[in-house]
Amino acid sequence: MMEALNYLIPAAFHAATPILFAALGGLLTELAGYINIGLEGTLLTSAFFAVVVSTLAGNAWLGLAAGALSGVVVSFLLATVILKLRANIVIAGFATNLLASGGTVFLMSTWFGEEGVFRSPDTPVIPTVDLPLIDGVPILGEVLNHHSILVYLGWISVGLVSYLIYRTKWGLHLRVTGESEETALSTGINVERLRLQAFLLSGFFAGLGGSYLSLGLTQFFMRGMSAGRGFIALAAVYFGGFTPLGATLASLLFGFAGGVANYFQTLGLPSQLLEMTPYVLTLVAILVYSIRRSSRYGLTEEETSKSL
Amino acid sequence: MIGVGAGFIAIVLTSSSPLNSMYVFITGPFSSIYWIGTTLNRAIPLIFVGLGITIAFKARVFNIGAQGQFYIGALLGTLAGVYLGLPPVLHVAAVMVASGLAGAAYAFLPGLFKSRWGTNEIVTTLMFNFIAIHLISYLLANQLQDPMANYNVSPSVRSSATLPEILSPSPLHAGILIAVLFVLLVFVFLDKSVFGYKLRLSGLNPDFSRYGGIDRGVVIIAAMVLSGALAGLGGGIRIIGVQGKLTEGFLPMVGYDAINISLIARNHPLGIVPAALFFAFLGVGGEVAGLFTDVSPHLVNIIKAGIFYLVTAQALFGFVEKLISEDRLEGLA
Repeated sequence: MMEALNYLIPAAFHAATPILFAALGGLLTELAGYINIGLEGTLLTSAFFAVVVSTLAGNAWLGLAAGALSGVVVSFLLATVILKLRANIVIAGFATNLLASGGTVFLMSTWFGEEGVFRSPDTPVIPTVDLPLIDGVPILGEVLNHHSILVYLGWISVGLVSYLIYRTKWGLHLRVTGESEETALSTGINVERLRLQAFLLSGFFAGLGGSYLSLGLTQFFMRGMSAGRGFIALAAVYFGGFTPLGATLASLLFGFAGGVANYFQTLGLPSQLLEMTPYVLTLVAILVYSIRRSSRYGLTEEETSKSL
Repeated sequence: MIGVGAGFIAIVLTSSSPLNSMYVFITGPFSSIYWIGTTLNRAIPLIFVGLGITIAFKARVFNIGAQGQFYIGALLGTLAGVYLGLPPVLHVAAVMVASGLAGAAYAFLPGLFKSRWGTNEIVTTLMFNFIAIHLISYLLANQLQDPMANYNVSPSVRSSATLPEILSPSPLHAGILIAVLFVLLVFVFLDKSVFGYKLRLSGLNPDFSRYGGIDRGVVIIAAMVLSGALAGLGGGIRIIGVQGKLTEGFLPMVGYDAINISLIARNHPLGIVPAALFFAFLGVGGEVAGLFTDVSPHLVNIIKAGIFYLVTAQALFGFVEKLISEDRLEGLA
């Protein structure tokens, strides 16, 4: 049992990290009033550029920067289409995912002549670290130590995003905008700029998550390697009740479920039902949420037409 | 068009003989009976699912769960095709009923949630999509796995349940005729029936129609159920027309393509046919170009992404700016 936990808890941290980054990004656009279906494609794009730049430049930090930047660019494209051209967020979100799945394979085959996997023995990856203070502590030391720097950066980002949302004027404006566009406009908030900023930040965080996929969790790019994590992150935003802490706990829970599913797979047990957990839990959570809301405020379809 | 243009620019940039590649891409789907049949075949599931989306959009219900409803329809269609023992025509009918009912049942839940508690159908149907995917991969790895196969695939449906091929040597099957029949049925339902009228009215203006005595809750559920039934039917027809057995992850974009098909068709059932053919043409054109030129077949996804990005871009088409933020999602109807 202990052995399983010793394997599972670090595995859960690793599985949770890309989900967590993407969920923080998804949370920011959600608060701005937009469901970010494009997280999946953002993760995939940044995973690709992170490992490609890291390999070609021989520097993992440049790879990370490229991953984050490509996330921002993809998000900027999505935001432009939505905010400037006034396209529908859901459909444009799926466009992002299509562009990412087609575009990454297209570039991989054009640049490297590979259709499935881009891999090089010389890819530098983001280093792992040991925290000196808790190194000797029995259980904690083993569980919390020796992760990729990006895992710790993920935890730090939770604090940063919380601070941004709840302690800054920008965060206040963001929440007001998500709550009611009219109120935001009437108090003089530049709604469009705020939303664009939310999307760019969202792309930045999802970009870090994607970089972790190819420079931490693995050391290669594989077509479609985001494998639904963007949607799990979206589920984490909803399951977590639209708060950074909630999204974090949800990401850890879903990461843990994913870790257990992998563990089952190695034991030859059916893992597919476990992989369903994020979606079933989120379904139940939003159902409970909407039942409580409708019993409090009555049935309001106009509200439902917004993000939730 | 801009998406297609971007795709052709990519051809020019990456191909050693761009003109030839483009020529192959455009003419490929028409170059032989085989490819014509393949293109028509590809359009069949898109027509069914696209019709389903159209009904939902007309009622101003945003069903993005067609992918899951399509899969659940395929699942039950497979079960009916494998385990029922019936004479030929009846067996096909049984598969159609099973897959249609399955898709309808799977869409009923998000419809019920929306009508009872206002639960956002975008999120619920999206979750249901992933639940369907994992459910099917679980069943294919366990109870439903063909004992003779050593990978995750169901047993084949009986020959009494398969649809005949009608344009040899192409794989085109009789499902195209059923698809056309349903195009007409949906057209008559939406345009000529009383309930279809109520459904459209409720979609156009929920509040106004409520004062007019139309039960919005009933409309929401009915739209979801009909939408799911058509998507599920598309899944069942795909199984007995082309695949013969259930596999993992087949046609993973059909539900999302169908949304765009319905939008391009301006949510009109008769428009679904050319729009679905256009998408099928893109897919097959990319495939032919991938086979016979040095162009990557993944280019098609980039072209489709361009279409997805811009198909709802109102500012681009100079549409009226009457749809302010709350109506942004509803602007589709």
